[in-house]
Amino acid sequence: MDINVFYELRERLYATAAAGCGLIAEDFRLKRAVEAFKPMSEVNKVFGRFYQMCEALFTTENTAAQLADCIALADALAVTQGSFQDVSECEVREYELCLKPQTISRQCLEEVKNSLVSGDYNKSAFLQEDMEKALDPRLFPFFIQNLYKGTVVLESMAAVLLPQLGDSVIPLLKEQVDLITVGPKNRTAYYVRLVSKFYGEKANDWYLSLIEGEKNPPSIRAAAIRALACSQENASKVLELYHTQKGVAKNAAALTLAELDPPEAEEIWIKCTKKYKSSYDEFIMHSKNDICAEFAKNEFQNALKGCREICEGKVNLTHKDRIDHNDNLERAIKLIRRKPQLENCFFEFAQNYKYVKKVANGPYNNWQEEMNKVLLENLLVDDQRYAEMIKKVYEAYPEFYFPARFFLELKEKGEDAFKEFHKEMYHNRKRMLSLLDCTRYDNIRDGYYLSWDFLGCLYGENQMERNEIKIFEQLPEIVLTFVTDTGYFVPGQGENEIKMEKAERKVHVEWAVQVLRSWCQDLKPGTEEYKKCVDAAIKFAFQVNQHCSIGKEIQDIIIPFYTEGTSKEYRGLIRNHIAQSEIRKEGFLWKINMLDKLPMSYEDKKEELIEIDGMIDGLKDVDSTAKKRIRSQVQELLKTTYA
Amino acid sequence: MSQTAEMITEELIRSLAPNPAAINNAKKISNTGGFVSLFQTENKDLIFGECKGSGKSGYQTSADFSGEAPVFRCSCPSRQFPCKHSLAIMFEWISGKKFETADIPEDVAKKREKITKRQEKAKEEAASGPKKPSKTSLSAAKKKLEKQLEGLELAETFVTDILNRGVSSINGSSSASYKNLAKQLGDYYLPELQAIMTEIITVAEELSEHPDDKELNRLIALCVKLSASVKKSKEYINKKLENGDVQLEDTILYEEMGGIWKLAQLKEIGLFKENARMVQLSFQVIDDTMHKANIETGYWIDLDSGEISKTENIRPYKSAKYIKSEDSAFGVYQIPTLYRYPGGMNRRIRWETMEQRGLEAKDYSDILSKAEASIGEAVKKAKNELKNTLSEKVCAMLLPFDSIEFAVSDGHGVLKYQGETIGLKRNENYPETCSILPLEPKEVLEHGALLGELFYDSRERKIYVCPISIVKEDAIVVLC
Repeated sequence: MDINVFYELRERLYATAAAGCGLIAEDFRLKRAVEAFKPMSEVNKVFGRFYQMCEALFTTENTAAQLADCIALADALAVTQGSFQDVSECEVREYELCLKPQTISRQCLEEVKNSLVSGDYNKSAFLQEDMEKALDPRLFPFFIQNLYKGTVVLESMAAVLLPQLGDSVIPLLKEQVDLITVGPKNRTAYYVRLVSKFYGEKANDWYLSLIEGEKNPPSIRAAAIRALACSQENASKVLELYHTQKGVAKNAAALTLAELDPPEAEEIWIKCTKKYKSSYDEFIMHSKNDICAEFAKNEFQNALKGCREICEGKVNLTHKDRIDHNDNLERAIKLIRRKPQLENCFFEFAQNYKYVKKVANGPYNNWQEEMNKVLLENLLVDDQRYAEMIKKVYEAYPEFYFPARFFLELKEKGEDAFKEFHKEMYHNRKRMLSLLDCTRYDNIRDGYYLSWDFLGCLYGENQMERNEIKIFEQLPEIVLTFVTDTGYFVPGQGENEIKMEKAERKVHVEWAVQVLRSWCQDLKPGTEEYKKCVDAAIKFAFQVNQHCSIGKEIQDIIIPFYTEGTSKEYRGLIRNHIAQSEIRKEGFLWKINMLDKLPMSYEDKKEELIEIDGMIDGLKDVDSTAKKRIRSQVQELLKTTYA
Repeated sequence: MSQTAEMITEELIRSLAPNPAAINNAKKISNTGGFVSLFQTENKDLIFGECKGSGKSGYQTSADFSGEAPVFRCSCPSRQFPCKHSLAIMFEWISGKKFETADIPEDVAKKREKITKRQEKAKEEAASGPKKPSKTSLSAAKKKLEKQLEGLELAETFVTDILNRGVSSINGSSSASYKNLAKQLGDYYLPELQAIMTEIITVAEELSEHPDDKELNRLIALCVKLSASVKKSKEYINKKLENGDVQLEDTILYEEMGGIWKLAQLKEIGLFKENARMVQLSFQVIDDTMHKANIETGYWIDLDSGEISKTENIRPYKSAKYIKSEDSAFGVYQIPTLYRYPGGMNRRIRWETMEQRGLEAKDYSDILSKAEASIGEAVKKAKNELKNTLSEKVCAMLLPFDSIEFAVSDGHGVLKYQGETIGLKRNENYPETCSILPLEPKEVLEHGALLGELFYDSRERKIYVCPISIVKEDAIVVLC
């Protein structure tokens, strides 16, 4: 029995439905198919009936209904004829991952998925206990497919999960590499970089195969060429690529060579420095080679010399010159990256800082911190020479290079660094607060990590290193005491009483509030660590409110975290804020609006407003016009919202 | 049975919330001190308070536990039920916030009174037994059938015209007149047929811009289904009108025409089971573009009969926000009255009340014992179901397996049991389960039963299974 005649007839019926059965009498192909099926009609009753129905198509008046019936029966027959045995050659399974199915509901799965990609890094985000959920096979493909989005949560998870899962995850990561479409955010190239970061040399053959495919997207080939930096043995291959490739592939080869620094590449660096083009800056920046270092040193010294000459009156300075000097200096600082042999540049910079400050002092450039960033960024590479360099430059210029030195101590000794540099911390309060502002509590890895913000996006290359540096597991008492220190605004309190100008004091308080708020947000409510941090933050916020209110202490700490306060306890906060702050410079209405956000009863808010109204006349340093304006606003509120 | 606010747990709040966003919003309100005042009655059967809103005055929110089920009231304008403020007041309760003791507000007391009266009336009606249909309702039912018959003529004209002209010929001008015809069908109580017609037009329009063989075949299949539905519905209605029996009966045609069953109707025609013990095997949200709705589908197994049924929570795109979403269910559901819809192998089920208990070792072995005897037998049953034009194109069954392995050639899964094999393939309802299967631990893929949707692949002329979940001796591993 040739069942194919049945399938051919079925196909013809579908074709007739597509073309229309108005002219079915002229459809010879269908007729032939029906004829060919005739022998089958004797095989069984159903086939017989099917044949009769198809034959009737050419005689019936209602062809459309008849055709629909024929197709319906053909479909039913096709189902009954369907086979099911699968004789494929099989193997037991593909991956050996330590994933574990979890008993979690679909909604919960969706929530976890959302928190993975939302990038939210606060209370509602992914927590360590969610890690188990992520090991559910239902979530794992989602996790892998979305890794390229680079949210903080995904990267923290990747840092924990990928090393744990071992080499068996490599095929899954490789599967994400689409050789046809690069995808959003250069998705595909990201996975090449990810494999190279976690599995380095193990995937060397794969990188080579991606490079070999000349038709592969350029960004994938470039990422694969960069991945060859995983082994010195690739040097000759990279050199060959440098000489044979063009465009992004050639650039990638040059960068890889800069990292590998094989002796054979010296002629490239000679060419780059002698026939200099601005596009070579990136290779020079990446290279540790002496030729590049010499070039970078000269450029750096020239930039400094330029500043000196201007200050000494040898050159007149126009606005454009100032911009040029800023650009030169910025470029020179970038060029001395990753060159342990250039420690003299750091000494010279500190010596010449007085000139730099005068000449190249654009609003966005804090050159002192930029130099510190270069030192700090070098620490990401595990090279003891950079550590030695930091120690030396700090010894000579302790104030200048304090951030780099302190960070090195943190990296080497953890929280003991705070004890070691206890005195210096208070002396460098603002810088310390800015460093602490970049630490985030990582709920996945349970610890405080230095975030990407600290190094800035200056060089744009270290995306995969972000959040890699653990500062401490639990907030040390010494750190909490430092952040919540009130010595600089409450006389006779705090560890080190420092006299400070009003404006500077405000900046310090703002930093401290910001640091405390971000820790409180990151920590999981209910934990000891959360309680410790929130209690200290609230105590600090009330002190700030009493002595030098900036309003942020109410908005950022008291309103969101002082959840157990009663309506009465919130009384006086806004009044203090008005009394402590400089009313003329800041919007008064904003302060009154904060009253609305406080969890107080209507009556308490009204009474509070009446009291504010009563204190307006007594406000010092507020002129009569401002007082008038304040009064009219308060009374307007008392007449409308709080009538 | 009266309860108190002491019964509030995070799980309860989650189960009551209409959607996950409502939970997040409620948490936000609670965490940021959204409540200005919080009160409880002396016996804690009512908690209430004032919540800050976007308006001048706050919202009066309450959660009342005095009845059989909690009742939520809020003066906010939200159409979500319960609203975020009602959920937030419960979060306030479980977070241990201070609730001052106060008397029941007057408006709540009045509303409680109304509920009690309504319940008493319902009890009286239930005690007096099922109502006989009145003359008016019989005549209305007859009129409805006659109207439907007129609509079926219209639908027949539609499908005949399309098949005569050819489905590929639907273009701009003809699709406008077809749309008009589909719109007219709205007056004839045939929403399901109207949905098929609209889908036919949509698919045809897409096809005219992007020709695709697979979609063309789907379009033809839709026309065939419409034609069959019209034909069978006409026969059904004509027979009913001839006999003068216009009451509902156990047939899928009622739903095929767009009828919606009430639980009381199902009970009247005997489609219910008492004291059923059900276990959910899977839960998935299926995007039904034809009906423009998300259908939350759960497959359940009856621990006594082994029948695989399904729950469907239909949430149309337009009103999804206001319809409570369902979630996966764990444990054994002991259901006093289980209502079953007319249908074939995987009937739709519903219930009003149930009690839940955890799964025990015996439950797992009971489920495993209800798996099909062999792959061949399962396929035979499936074919009987799938060949019906009006039935669904998939049927869920529990297949036993010795192992699930993967083809060396392309990595597709193969289920093996006592010398028989069947291929695993994704379908539209469960597009990701096949790629999740190889990630499962090795032991999950040995000796168990697989819940899967069997379907016919017309290109390959084969029956495949789309995996959904795996039952083991101590666990149900859900793949979706």
